[in-house]
Amino acid sequence: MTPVSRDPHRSAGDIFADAIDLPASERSQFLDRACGDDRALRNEVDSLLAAHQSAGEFMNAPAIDTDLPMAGIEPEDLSGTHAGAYRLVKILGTGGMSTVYLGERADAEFEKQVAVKLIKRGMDTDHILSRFRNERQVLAGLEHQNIARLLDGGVTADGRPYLIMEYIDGIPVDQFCGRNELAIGDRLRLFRTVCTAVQYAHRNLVVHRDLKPSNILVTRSGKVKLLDFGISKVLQPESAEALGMTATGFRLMTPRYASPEQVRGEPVTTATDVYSLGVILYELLTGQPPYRIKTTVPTEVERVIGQTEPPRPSTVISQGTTVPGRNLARRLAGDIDNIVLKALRKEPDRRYESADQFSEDVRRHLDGLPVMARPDTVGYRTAKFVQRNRVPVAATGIVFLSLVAATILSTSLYFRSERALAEAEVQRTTAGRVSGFLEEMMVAVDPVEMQSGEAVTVERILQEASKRIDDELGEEPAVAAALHHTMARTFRNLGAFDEAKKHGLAELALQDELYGPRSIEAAGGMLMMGGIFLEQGENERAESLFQEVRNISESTGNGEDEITANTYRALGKTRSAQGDYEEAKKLCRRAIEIRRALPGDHREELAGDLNQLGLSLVQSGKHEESVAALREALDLMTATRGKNHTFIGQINNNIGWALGKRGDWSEAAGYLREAIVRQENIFAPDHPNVLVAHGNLAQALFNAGQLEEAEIIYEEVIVGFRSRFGDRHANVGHALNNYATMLENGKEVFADAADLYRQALSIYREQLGNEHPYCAIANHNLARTLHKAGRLSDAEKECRSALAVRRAVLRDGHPDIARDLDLMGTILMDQGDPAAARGFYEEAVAILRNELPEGNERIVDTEARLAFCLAKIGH
Amino acid sequence: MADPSDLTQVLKDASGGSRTAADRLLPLVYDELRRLAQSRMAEERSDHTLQATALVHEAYLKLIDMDRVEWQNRAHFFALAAKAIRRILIDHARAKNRAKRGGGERNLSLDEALTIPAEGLDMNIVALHEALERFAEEEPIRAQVVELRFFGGLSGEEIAEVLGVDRRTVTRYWQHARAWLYRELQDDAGE
Repeated sequence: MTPVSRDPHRSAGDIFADAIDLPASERSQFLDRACGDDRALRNEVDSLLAAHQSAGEFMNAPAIDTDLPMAGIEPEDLSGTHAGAYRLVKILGTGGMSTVYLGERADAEFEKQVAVKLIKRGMDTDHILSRFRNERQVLAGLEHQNIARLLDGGVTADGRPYLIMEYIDGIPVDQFCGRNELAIGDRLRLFRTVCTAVQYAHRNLVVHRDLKPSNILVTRSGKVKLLDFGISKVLQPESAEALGMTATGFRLMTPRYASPEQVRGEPVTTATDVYSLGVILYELLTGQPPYRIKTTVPTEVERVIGQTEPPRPSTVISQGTTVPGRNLARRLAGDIDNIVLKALRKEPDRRYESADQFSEDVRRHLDGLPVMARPDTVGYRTAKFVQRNRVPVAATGIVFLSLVAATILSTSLYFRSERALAEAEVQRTTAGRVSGFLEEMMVAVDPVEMQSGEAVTVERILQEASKRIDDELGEEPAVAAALHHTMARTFRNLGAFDEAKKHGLAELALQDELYGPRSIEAAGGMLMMGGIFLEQGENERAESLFQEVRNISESTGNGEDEITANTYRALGKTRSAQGDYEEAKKLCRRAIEIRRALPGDHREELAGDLNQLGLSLVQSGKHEESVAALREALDLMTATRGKNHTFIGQINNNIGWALGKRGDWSEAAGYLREAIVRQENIFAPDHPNVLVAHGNLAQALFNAGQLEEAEIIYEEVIVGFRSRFGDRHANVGHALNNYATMLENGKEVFADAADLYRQALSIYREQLGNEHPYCAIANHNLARTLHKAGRLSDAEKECRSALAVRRAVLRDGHPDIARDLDLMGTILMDQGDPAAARGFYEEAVAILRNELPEGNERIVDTEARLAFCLAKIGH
Repeated sequence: MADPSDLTQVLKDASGGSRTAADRLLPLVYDELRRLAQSRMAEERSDHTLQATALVHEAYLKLIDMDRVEWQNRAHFFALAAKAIRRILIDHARAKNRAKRGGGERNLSLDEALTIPAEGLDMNIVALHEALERFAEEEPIRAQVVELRFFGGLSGEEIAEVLGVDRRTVTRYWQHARAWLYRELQDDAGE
């Protein structure tokens, strides 16, 4: 039955919508016409109309207004509760990360008012606490009449960290100047007092990092007090340091007072405070901020602060200024313009060297003496900054520390599995035959024996040996297997993974022949092979081998023997490599549990387990626990081997690493110095272990901001490696690469850094072949530096080369490949080609999502860049 | 290699239900909203009323550089973001419901469900989401209007631009969808 009178294309929804536009009186007639005799249609429209009538405000407010899942964002007022011995009286103020309360001693023995800074929920509590423990000695030691004392800190009953500080009843310095209509001279004198306090803190190695008027109070009696010294370092999430320009990092400072290096996420030094002092003085004198930052878009903030020049103070005197007197502009023009702008220079090393020097120049001006500040030249500014517009990419360096860490583990692990094998009768004779064979090999390549006069290298010996194992030891498969094992390990340590694998596979084939497929005797070889796979980033293959060993050991033993423990540790290392640190920790703990229950003395192996656990703990950010595990490892090794074993030095080294990761590079440096002492007791001063330890120390000192000493040590290390190994050894490459990292990130001398990266790259290529992970690392670093230096097309070329190498060497989807992809995307973005950048970002995101746990910072970062890229496409 | 029409396609796929693009965006949108809300709370102690819709707009602004992006891409970005917010809200409500069930409670309290003043109808957002899925089977475009407006917090004009229809059509679609959903949820509640 087709209704004749209605348009068959009109739906109930359309008729309904038409109907509600009509006055009620006309509706019925309209509906009769529109629906004709289609009862179903008419019923539907009527039903919609009825719903419309009674729907009220249904859905009119967006869901997000009613249902925003932001539980906990309401600032709760905890007045009346306690923090330690203090009762919270009232809220004094609140910031992004904390709420400050007025507090009173709860025991009321003596009345004392304090300020209690209570950290908000959602912050990384563990990290803040460990930071605080780190810093408290230093901060509590700051005793200066113009600095508010840090009195104490702790955790509330419900687990929130708090800091107790001297309570200052005052108003921010800018308000103080305004209310009292201070003249220029008075403002400058007040400012000098601020400088004195800052200088005092700097001498005590504390950088404020967040200087702003609201942190500088003036009491009713006119006394200046600086608040929150060093607090922002305590509150800084660990990740923010490495990440640079992320939203996470951004929240930690006040953009208005932030220096170019801060918005770029680069290391913060005393020069950073000098810069903030410059902003404060600018505002005190003009009533204006130097930059008009109207946006919160990080790249834009970075652009404004990092690239634009602030107007001279004398040119921005506004109607609303609180500075009294006439001819203000004339008063500021010249010296004061120059002084303020010197403090505001983009490059930290072109600002005043210290708050003292800044203050001194102000004094000279006040005394009518010539000041040291000179106007900046336009040429300098443009030359240096014209091309600065980059998204920072996390730095990659070949870090000595982790290399050493890896070596400890593997030596100890294989040592044990070999010893397990040694229990078999056949091994006794095998051992003798193995060393005999190796001795022959040495003789074969002895220059005296050789006629050609070719240089003898370890590689040559090994190659020669490789050829001869099969030819000469066909009758002695057990000896051949043991030799293949040794060869595999040696090649692996040389970074020649393909060669290593060949021998590893040969060993396994022989074991199968001797003992049947997948025997317990093959376990050592399988663990070794797995280790090689791990080195190449083939984590899944490694894992499946380790799992197989676990199955074998569980089926042949009770599942709680030594091989099982070794396997758990190897699996732990695998998980760690896969980024699953939680599981890694569990596996290591299982290894430790088994090991502790074993009869006999296994302290040395236990130390190895604890060492791996410690490394996994560092990776998962549990620095305290990590240090504890590593210290236990240290104690065990000391007990079994005495103080002068090389492993002792290495554990010290790892403790240094853990402390460094925790952000305490100074304490780390202490352990690394200890590591050096241990190594030097055993080895000659130019022994690689000693040199490596020095390299690590230089790295730590660099991170601790002690660039001068770091630089000296780096230079020594490079000289040492060169004289020990020759100019072209891979270790020289490592030293050059790491030194370049410091020049790049610490001193920002990109041309020198690029030069060193190139040298390192050329060494790696020559020594390790074009397709080695180290080539890719040096190549990537070179690309990143060139990018920073604004040499975009060179950067692109190098980055493509790094990417090609990594694609060739690493398994598909290795997270390191994403580093190159990410940098490529960024370079292309800066070249104004977001369409080309997009593919790289997308692949990077796909890889990272696949490889890293959800929410990992690298994923979030790269995704953010992809989002910007997508948004810019079509522009 | 990639040209803008590819992007448009990706974004369209996403609007059409592909989870990958929305997946990519979701953490960004969510983090941005949280961050904005938090900084807002910190700045404006005197006025605790959060205008969440305003926050969403600010989040959009922060995530994309509005001045430099063509409308076509911006529109699809909005669509994607609305989808992401929808998922945030639904996931959140489901998680809360699960937690509630675990706790033996059945009633949803105000902060997790939308309370509809008219007719005393209680509706939770998960039921709404499911009803909207059913509606989308018949009327995909109109369902998208709901997504953009109700979840994405977009204005009628913005929706008109996203969908490439006129402003009046958006209003008509919205009214239809709203009545349909209201009836659907009432029926649910009656069952």
